[in-house]
Amino acid sequence: MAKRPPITNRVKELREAHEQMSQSALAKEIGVTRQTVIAIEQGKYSPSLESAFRIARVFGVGLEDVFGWDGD
Amino acid sequence: MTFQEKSAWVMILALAISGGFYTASIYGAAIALQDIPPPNGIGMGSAVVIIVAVAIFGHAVAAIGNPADANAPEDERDRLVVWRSGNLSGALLGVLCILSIFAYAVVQHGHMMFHAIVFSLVISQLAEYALTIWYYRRGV
Repeated sequence: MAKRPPITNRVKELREAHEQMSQSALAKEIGVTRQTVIAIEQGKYSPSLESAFRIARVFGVGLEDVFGWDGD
Repeated sequence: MTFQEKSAWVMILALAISGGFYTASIYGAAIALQDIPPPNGIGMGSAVVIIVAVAIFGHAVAAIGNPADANAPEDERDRLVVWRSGNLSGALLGVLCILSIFAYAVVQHGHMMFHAIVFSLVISQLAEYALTIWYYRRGV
């Protein structure tokens, strides 16, 4: 099985707190597909630094308010 | 499921059908000749036609099911999946070609080497599509 990246995120939580923003709407905002947003929320994919910043900017928060490190 | 993953399933099906057809034609010729048969141009041509036909039909069906996904450009995750699966399948192709060359050095039969390299191509392509599905499902 592919190793999960040791990065946690609050994308789903922030999206729902952001007027129940849909996965499609977030995907369009950051320039990825809806399946990629789903993969990020499920922890199956760690976005590029550029996409991570775009996500944080959509929610108006800092990068570390969205992503965390869950490794050694 | 992304359109790219559906596309990988379609290509696995296309390769399995055409590869099976070509293998059967080679096997039949080998039984008739009691030797490794020469390259079969008609068999290879037919296999290519089968791949193209199944690929066109399969992709059309997948696109009709979700046109928006089919028309969406590749994003960063798609590119990473393509790169990783292509990288590994390329390495597999290299290993299989080297094994084919070693086999030729031992057996000294050009027809065998031809078939071995054709099957190496098919196997590496199957591996690429299988890895694509794996990375989309399990994460990349």
